[in-house]
Amino acid sequence: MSDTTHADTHVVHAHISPLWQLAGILIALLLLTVATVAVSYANLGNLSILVALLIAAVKGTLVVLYFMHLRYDAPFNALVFSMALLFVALMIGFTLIDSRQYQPNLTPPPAVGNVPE
Amino acid sequence: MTSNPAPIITDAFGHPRKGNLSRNYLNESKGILSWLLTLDHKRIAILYMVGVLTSFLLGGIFAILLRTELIAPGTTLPAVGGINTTSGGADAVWSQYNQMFTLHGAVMVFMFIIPAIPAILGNFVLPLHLGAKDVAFPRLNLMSWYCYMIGGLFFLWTLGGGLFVRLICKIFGLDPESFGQLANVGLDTGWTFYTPYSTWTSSSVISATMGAFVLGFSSILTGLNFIASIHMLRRPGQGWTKLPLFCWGIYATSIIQILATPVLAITLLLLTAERAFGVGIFDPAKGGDPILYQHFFWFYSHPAVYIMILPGFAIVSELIGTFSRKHIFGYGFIAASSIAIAILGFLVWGHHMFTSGQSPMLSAIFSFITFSIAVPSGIKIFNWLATMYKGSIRLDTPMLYALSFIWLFTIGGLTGVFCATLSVDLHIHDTYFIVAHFHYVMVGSTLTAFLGGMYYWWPKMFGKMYSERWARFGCLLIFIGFNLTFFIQFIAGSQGMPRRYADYPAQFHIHHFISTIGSYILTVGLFAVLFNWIHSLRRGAAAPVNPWGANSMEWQAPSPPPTANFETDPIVGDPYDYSHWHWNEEIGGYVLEEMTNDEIRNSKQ
Amino acid sequence: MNQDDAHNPHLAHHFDSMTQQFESSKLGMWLFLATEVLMFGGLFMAYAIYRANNPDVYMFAHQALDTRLGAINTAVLLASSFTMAWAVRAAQMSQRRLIMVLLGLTLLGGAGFMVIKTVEYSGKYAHHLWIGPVNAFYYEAGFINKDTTLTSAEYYVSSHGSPAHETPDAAHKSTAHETTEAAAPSEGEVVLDAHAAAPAPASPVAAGVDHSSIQLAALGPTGVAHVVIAEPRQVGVAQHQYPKFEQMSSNDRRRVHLFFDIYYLMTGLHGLHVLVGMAIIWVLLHKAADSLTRAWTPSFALLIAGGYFLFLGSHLGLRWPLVLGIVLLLIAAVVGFMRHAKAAADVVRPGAYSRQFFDPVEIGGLYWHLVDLIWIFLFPLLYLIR
Repeated sequence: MSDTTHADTHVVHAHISPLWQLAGILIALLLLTVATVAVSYANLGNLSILVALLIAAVKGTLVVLYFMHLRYDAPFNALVFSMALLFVALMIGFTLIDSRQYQPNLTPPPAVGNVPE
Repeated sequence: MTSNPAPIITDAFGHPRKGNLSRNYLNESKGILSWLLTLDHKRIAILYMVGVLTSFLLGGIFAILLRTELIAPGTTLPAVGGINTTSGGADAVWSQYNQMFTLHGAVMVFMFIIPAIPAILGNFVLPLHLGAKDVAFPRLNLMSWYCYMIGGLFFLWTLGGGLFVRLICKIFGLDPESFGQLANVGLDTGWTFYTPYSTWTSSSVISATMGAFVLGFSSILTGLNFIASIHMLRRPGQGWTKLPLFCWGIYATSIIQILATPVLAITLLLLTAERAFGVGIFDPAKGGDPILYQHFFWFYSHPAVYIMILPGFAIVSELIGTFSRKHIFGYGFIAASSIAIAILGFLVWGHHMFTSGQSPMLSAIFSFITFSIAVPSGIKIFNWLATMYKGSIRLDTPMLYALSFIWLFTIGGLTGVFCATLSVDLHIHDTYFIVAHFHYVMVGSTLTAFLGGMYYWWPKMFGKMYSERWARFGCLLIFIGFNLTFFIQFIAGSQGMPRRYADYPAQFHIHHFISTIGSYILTVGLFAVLFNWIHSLRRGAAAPVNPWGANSMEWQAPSPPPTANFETDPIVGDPYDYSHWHWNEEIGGYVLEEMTNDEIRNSKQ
Repeated sequence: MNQDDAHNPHLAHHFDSMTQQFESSKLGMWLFLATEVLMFGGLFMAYAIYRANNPDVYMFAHQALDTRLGAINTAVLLASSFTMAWAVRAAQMSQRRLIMVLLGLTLLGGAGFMVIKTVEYSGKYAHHLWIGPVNAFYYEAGFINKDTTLTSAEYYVSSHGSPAHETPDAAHKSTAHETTEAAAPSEGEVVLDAHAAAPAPASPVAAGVDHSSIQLAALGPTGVAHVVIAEPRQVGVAQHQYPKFEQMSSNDRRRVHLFFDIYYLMTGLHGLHVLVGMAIIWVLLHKAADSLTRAWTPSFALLIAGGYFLFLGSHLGLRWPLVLGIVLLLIAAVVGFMRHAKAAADVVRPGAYSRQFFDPVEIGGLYWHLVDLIWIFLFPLLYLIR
């Protein structure tokens, strides 16, 4: 701990984000929000979910790195968080593979009744 | 050791202790509130012990009842009135049986096995292993105990809440139907709460799922505390390689608790939403997908199996080293294999679903990864055997439990390979083979390790020795009773006896008869352990600082430790280097040789 | 180890230094956030499975959601996340007055989010698009809910929340929208679907009857099934190429209500987290306030609650929330003045957080940012389905 030599020793020396950085991140996040809504009107087909998720991922990364200070934080905290994301991905990935394989084998449902045609 | 009449109370070096000798964490403060509001990890461990052992008794009663029902074909036990209100006769008995095995499973899994080792022994020992004063977040630790108790209350409501509501209705002349699901009694879904049955059954599912949900929080808070403690509270000089293997095992367990338990939470919330709001995500009648529920459930519940067994490994690693009086063999491999099991354990949940119609490719992948878990498990077994090889083995009670653990876990583990084999599993799925397999792992291994750990740390926890003879006798009875109960179930299962059936053809009578007799012997053995402990608390001789000669830091603290754990800063060293501890007949325990300041300084590096 | 730390009254007995304590609490919070991620991960899994297997359901049902309100809510939450991050900075720099202002703003942001969420929920509730059986599309054992509610709900879905009528640049596309251009993207959607959906009869049926999405693919760019603006409900407004309820396969139709279930579970659980986060921020505000201001923090909470109920009452046209809101505001005033009188008689003590001790602000902030983070993913996944 480097702070032992510091004069003001009973203070935690954490990273203090400059205000311009926080404000810049907010502006970037708002612009990305506008962008994701705007892009959704372009007919991108299948790509649209990828683009939407990509923008969301960028926004999320900004929040995690700067608002949550993970960029300046202990690397293990970043590991914890990425492990969580990894396991979510594994869970969804495996289950998606499976559901797409057994779904066609399911017995077809009874016809929907009572629907105005 | 118990033969020694009056051991002198000394510190780790054999010097008579100064100060108030009778003050320790148990009698530091008095009154029920001083326990209910305590932040001391040792007291919380004792609180957990009371709760967990009570749950064990409850789950055990269900086990004995269901084994008794199965002692002969046909109905055996009378149906208790009120549990099943719709039908009488044999149907009532079968329905009662369904409740018995469900509640046995749910109580044992959620309230006994999962919290047993981490919450009792982990809470007590882990901060001592780190040379710390407490866990990182003492308030969360207390909160986790309250979560446990609230979860237990939910389970109690499942048991009898509906009966209570019906009683009230009878007194005031109300219609129980108007109370909706509050008037439901018991639980008959199996501990897995499989949909769609669990969305339709008229038993008290919501209270059980909410109970398990709250218990999950208890588990999460415990795991979170341990990871933060191990990272942040190690003593200066205690690097990762100087952690006792117990800490590594608990660390691996905590990883699973952190990453898997929340998925259980959301699964149970969704199931609650199915019943409470009529959501249909898992209900095929509403267009939902019941297989999805199984994915949800096993994503937690398979890793949860490792929440149960990894702490068992953790304890046995301590016991084998200490009682072989030899440095543990392959420290790094044992530590790393725990982490490997924790990670791999997440990628095998599909092996519970081989017969569910799951994708064949995925089944093959899950089967393969399941096989690969045998590798780190095998590494542990071989390292323990190698530790014992040419060691000077002392067969004290904890070591007897450790040996019986190795025996039982090997059977449980190897039969697991059968279950992981796709083609074999199609035959043995949902038979007694599976029942026997997971009882060998959960009870044979985890319970055995838990009891071994309790006997090992008992002198430290309560400052009392126990009757070695009765302890060994209990261990023997448990070993015999357990094998008698469950080994025969492998045979019954491979011959086609399905699990969860209340009745069976006459050809399986002999299997079930032997199994039930075995379960009675097991029960007697467990009560022998209980009386042994009670006797120790009342009459046991005072325990020395270090009765076993182990070198992890808890054995430098007084027995029982004071609230702040250590009277002087403990010496950090290799936890498996036993060479500095020497037997002292007068004290009845091991004594640490005096070290010069230079040596202490070296050992700290 | 650090001797000077012994002077800091905020150091717990089992930690050696303030840094160790700070790092520990941060690690603990990150571990907790990991559990939150996995918990929401389960809901995202349910979302992903149904979206992958029934893309048309999502395309159809998500129209009920109002993109504009969703986007505004995103901005509100992002802004409150910013004020939270700024509050952490203010605490680190001992700007005691600024911490209070920023935490108060963050709290108001959370309240604003809940208000907008209430508008959204109540609009859907009014059109029988609630959770479980209280949904016009509710399906059980072969039957979908009552005809009357279904018609109104269907109208609501296909006329509301469709983003096209909100932006001018989409409007000029509307002319070219009808057939060729629009068919291409939805074809891709369909190809994805072809693996998942149950095989449908090969011969195309007339438009308006039981079309599976595979049939749509077979019809290709000129497909009749793509006539979306069959009865233009809003003159001069372009519609995206969303499937209509009658045109969906029966497999899809019986799962429409599941979209709403998933929507309510995801946003509901998220909303619960917003409420918890607001409670945490209120506690932070209470501790951060000096003793004079602290006299008013309970009133501030009551003010927010009272204001919410006043809004609820006026929005739904109900009397009891109005009464409750007024009562809460009155209590807020009374409590505030009583506490103020008491605090004014005493010495003014400063708030708890400064650069000596700001751990709780940082930790509470992490939680609030996570709530924001989850919404960042919920918004495009629920509101912007194409």
